[in-house]
Amino acid sequence: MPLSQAAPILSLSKVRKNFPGKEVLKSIDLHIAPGELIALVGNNGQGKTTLMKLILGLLTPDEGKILIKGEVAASSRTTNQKALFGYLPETTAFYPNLTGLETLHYLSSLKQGAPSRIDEVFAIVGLEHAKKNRVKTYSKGMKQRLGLAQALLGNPKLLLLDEPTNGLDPSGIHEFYQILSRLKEEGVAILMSSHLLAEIEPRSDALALLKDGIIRAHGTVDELISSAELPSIIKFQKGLSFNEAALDQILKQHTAEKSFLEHTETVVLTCHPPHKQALLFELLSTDKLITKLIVNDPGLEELFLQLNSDLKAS
Amino acid sequence: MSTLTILFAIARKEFIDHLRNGWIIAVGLAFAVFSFLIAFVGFGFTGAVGIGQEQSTLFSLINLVIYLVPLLGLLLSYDGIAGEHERGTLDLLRSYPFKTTLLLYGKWLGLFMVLVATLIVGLTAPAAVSIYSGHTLQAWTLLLITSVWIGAVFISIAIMFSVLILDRGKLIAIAIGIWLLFVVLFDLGIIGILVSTEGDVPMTLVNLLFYLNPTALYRLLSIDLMMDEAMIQQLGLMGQIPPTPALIAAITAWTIIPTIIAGWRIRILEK
Repeated sequence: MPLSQAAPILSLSKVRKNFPGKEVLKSIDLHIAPGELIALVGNNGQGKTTLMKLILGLLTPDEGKILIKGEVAASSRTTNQKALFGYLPETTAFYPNLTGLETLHYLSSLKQGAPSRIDEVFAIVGLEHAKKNRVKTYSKGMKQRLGLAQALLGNPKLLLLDEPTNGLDPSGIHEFYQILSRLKEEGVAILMSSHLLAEIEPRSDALALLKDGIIRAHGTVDELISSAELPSIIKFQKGLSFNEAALDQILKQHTAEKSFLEHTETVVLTCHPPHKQALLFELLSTDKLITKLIVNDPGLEELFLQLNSDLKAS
Repeated sequence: MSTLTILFAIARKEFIDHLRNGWIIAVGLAFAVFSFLIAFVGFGFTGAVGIGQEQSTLFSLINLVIYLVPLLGLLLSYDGIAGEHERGTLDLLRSYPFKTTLLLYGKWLGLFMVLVATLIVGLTAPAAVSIYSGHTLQAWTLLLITSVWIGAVFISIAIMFSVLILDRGKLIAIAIGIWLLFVVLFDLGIIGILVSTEGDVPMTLVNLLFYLNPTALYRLLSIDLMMDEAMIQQLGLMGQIPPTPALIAAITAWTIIPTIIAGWRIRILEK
């Protein structure tokens, strides 16, 4: 189901893709509406790039339907459908002997975009200072910015970004997500793949966890974590009046479990999020029972690891 | 209109990209030096002016073209599409709103422009020597046109393999193999057949074999267009050269058919 009420710009229904000797995507259902950012998460080799190529029409699905703006797409995309896309492949070296400006002029003319847009996208990605330098002098991060710039040429309605923050430094990543945020506000739908869970967790509207050719979980981060019932981790050091019996009594009330880190004074508690607040209140109200408290709520990484371990077990 | 805009944008980019790549300038200059030396030794150096000198000089230049221009065409183009594939730009461009075959034809056009520029540089020096020695430009113009044409054939062949193989490592070996086959081994093969059969081979069969080698066709066409009867007699080819339209048709086919195969292949790439 689409997360947004708006009509999806892209829908995939039971899409399957095999390569000789390998079933890459088994049955993919995915919807993305204007202004949404969906992160496609999965380990390497799980079919994220294949899925993007299917959407772009670079590959043909063996089964299933791809709908673009509500219309079933044929095996090859029409020029009008292609004009909706902005695509940033995982690795693009571009043309080392051309300058950044020449590269975008070239690519803009292939997209039949307005030349005035070139300066705009250079400004958006913060590469104006280097636009007259040859691409061979660019750092990896600058090439990635150039890649994003070309994806923005022609005012696309759906951005497909394959591992887009590879090679960007922390400030570059921050600026990159600011750009995406502005594009979302303009109604651009964004599907990006990544395996940098901590990076995408706070920035995406929804996640699609891809594993063994199937989207194992799809929804907002909060929805996914609450549905997975992952425990919160509470760590503290024993206080001056630490009493194990008293702690056990509290844990029993709040269905929490404890363990001790060897050779330290650190105690680790695991409890389910609904009990967390009451448990913390009681721990803190008991005089000098604990000190140096750290609370780790479950995040995407824990969800992803649990999903992987569940699949291995099954 | 937009189709032409895209076609010329790709050709222009290809042209600029290659001109900035130093080796093509080096090849152009090397070609100029060789052709100048041939022209200079042919009639400039001796100071002798006459039809015979021009004919033998042209014949030497035709042979120089046979050795260098196919190699130039192959090395210019072998990674035309495979290079895009390895850089990651092929999938990117295939996602753009234009027909992928335009990428192929635009590249062909751009590479053709590089070839023309290189051959103009390479053949200007001998043409200047020729004019200085009192000859007209007609033969040189014909030499330029036929040289560009044989280069275009090898651009088409290289681009076809570039789309079919998509692996630069293999393609460089294939490019050198094609050059060896058409420029060196083919003639040796024909000589081998003639020697082993003591010449008892129908001339029609030998003529048919020539159609399998574009450089042989180029040699025959150039001789047909540029050499006089005395020279053709001296070369032992009187009455042996196939009709001019047949040669032109065969070279045209060698130019077009690989491009058609490449166009078919690029449309169904990795689906």
